[in-house]
Amino acid sequence: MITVSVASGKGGAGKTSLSAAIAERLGAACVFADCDVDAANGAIALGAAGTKSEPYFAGPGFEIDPAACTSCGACQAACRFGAIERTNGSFRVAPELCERCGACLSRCPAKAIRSYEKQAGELLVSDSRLGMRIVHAELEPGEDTSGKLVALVRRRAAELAGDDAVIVVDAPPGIGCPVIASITGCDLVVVVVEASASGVRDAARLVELVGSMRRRAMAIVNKSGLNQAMDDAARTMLKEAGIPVAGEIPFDPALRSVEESNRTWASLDCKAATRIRSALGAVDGAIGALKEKR
Amino acid sequence: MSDAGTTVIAVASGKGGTGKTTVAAHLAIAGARGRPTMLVDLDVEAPDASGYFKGAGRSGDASEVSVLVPRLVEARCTGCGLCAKACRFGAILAIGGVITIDPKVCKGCGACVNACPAAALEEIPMTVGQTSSFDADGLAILEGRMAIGDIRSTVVIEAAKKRAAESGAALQIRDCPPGVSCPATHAIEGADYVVLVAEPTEFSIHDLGAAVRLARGRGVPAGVVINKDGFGDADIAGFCEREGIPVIGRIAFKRERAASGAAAEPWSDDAAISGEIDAILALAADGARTDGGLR
Amino acid sequence: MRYAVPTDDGETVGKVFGRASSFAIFDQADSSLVIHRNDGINAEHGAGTGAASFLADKGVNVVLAPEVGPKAAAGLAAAGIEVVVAATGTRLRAAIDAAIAG
Repeated sequence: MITVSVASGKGGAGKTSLSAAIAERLGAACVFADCDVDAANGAIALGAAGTKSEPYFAGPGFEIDPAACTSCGACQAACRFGAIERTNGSFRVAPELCERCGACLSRCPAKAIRSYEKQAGELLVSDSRLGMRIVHAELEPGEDTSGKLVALVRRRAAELAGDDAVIVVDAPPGIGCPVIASITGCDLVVVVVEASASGVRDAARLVELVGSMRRRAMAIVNKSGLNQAMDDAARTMLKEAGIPVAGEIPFDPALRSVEESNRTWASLDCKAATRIRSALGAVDGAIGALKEKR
Repeated sequence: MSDAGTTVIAVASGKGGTGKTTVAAHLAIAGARGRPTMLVDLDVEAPDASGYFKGAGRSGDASEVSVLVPRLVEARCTGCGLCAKACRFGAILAIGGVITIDPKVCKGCGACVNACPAAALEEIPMTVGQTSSFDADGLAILEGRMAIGDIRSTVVIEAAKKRAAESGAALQIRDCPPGVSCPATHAIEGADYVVLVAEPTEFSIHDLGAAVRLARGRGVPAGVVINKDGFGDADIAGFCEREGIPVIGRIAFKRERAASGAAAEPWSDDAAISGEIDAILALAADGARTDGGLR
Repeated sequence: MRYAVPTDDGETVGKVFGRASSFAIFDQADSSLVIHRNDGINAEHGAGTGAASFLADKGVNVVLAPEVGPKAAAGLAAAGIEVVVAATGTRLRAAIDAAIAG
C-alpha cells in the first residue's frame, strides 16, 4: 500500500483538483482520502454516490441546563472564547464558538453545566463514478478539522485499500495538526505551489514541515503565467529546498469549467492539458518507482 | 450586534481562493470615500489585505496579543497530574510526578488552573500574535497577525475585533478567514451583515451552502457576490434562489483582474468594477440596517 | 535501557508515531518485549504529545521511529527521550538490536 499526500499550505491553490486528477489516473486501484474537510470538494470532483455515513464524535460539548442555572454569569466570565451568551433568564453555550475546553463546567457553582457527546460531523464512504472508493467527512459549522478526524479518514481508507492500492490523501490547507496527520507516514508528498505571493509563502512553510518529517516530496507549480515575478519566486523557493518539480500548470480559465462537466483535470481538452498530463505523468512515475521498491 | 453608529460588514467565503480579500479591500476603498472606514484583516494565519495598499504607512504601535498560559509553581506542586488530565489539548505532560507544560499548544482556556487542588499553577501571558494599524490615504487598516507556526487564531481574531471596535470607525469591513471552522465563525460573529464571495464552480456552491448554514445559525443576514462570473458554468444564481439568499453583485472574470489579484494589486483603473463594488457596498449596508437578506 | 517502537502489526516498525496502533517496549534488563495498545490514537489534538507522555511514564529512554511530528518531537525532548531513526517495515528485534549496537 502506497500513500501519496497532496498538500499546498494555501487554500485555493489547486490541490483538490490535482489530487482528484491523480486519483482518476489510478482508477479503481486507489482509494481517495479527502482530508480537506472544511471544503470537501474532492468527493464532488470524483462524483461521490451511494454514500454511507456514520456519526463522528470529536470530543465532549458543554451545555447549560436553564432549570438549574442561577444566572450568576461565572461561566461567561470563565469562558475565554466568548462562547457563552445570555438568553432570557439564563446563559447558553453557543456550540459554534465553543472550544470545548470545559472551563465553564469547572467554574459553575450550581452544577448546571454538563458535558454531552456532541456530534461533530459525519464520516462518509462513497463510490466514485471513476471506480475508486472515496472516504470523506462533513463537519458541523464551527467544528474544526482535527488530527483525529484526518487519522480516522486515513484509517478507514487503509481498511478499504488492498495491498496493491494507492491511497491518495487530499490534505487540508495550513500546516497545523490536521496537516501533520495527513502527511505522517506517507510515501510521497506532492506539494502544490500556487504562483502568487501568498501561495509561494505558504508552500515554503509546508516544505519546511515536510522536511522536518523526513518525507519524500515533489512539487507542481500551478497558475503560472500570470505574473513572471511570482513564477520565478516559486521556482527559486523549490530549488533552494531541493524539491524536484513535476511540472508547471499555466493559469487557464477553462480548467474550472471542466469540473462542471463532471471531469477531472486528467481527461482534459484545453491549452493547459499537455502540461497537466506531463505533470501527472511525472507523479505516476514516482508512484511506480515506489511500488517497485516494495 | 455592533455599537450604534458602526456598521460591520464581514466578507467571507466557504472556499479559499474565491477572491474574498480582493473584494474586501475594494469594498473598504469604496467605503472610505464617504465615511471613516476601517478594513479589518481577520485572516490572521495569513493576513494579506494590506498587500493591496503598498503605500500604506504604519500608524501607531503594534499591539501584542497574548494568551495566558500556565506556569508551574514548583514549591506547591504535588505531582498529582490532575492538570494534565484536565487539559483537552495535550499541552501538559505528567511524567512520574513531574509536570511539563508546552506553552505553544496551550489554548489559554484556564481549565488546568481550575483543576489544580494545590494552586500550583499561575498564569503568564504568552505572545501568540499582534494587531497593527496602517493608514492608506485615509483608509484605516487593522491587521491581526498570528505568529508563524502558532494555531491559536481565535485569540488573535478576538483581539483584532476588539481593537477595531475601539477605533470608532463608522464602517468596518472584515476580511475573514476562509472556511466555516472555528476561526471563520469567530470572524463572522458580531457582524451586521456577511458578504459571501463565491465563484461559479460546483466546489464553491458546496462550500457556500456550509457558509450560509453558519450565517443562519448565528443570525447574521447575508448576501452573495458572484466573483469571476463567467469563469465557470455552475449555477450559483439558481442555488441562491433555492436557498433564499440574495445575490448582491456579480464581478465578471477578466484575465487582467486575475493577474492583478495574484500580485495583490488593486483594480483601481477598472471603472466597471468601481460601479459594481459601490452597488455591493450599498446593498450590504442596507441589509445590515434593515436586517435584511438571509434570515 | 528501555526502547519503544511504534508498530501497527506487532511485528515490524510502523509508519507513524503519534497515531500508531501500539508501541512495542523492549527492556534491556530482562530482554522482555511487551506490546502496549496506543489509546492516544483517538486524541483530537496532540496525539504525539500524548504518546510521549505515555512512553515516559513507562520509563522509555529511546524511541525508534521512521519520523516524529513536531509536537511529538517536543514532547519527547521534554521527557528526555532520545529519538533514533528506524525504517518502516524493519522487524522489531532487528531494529532494536541495531539501535543497541549503535
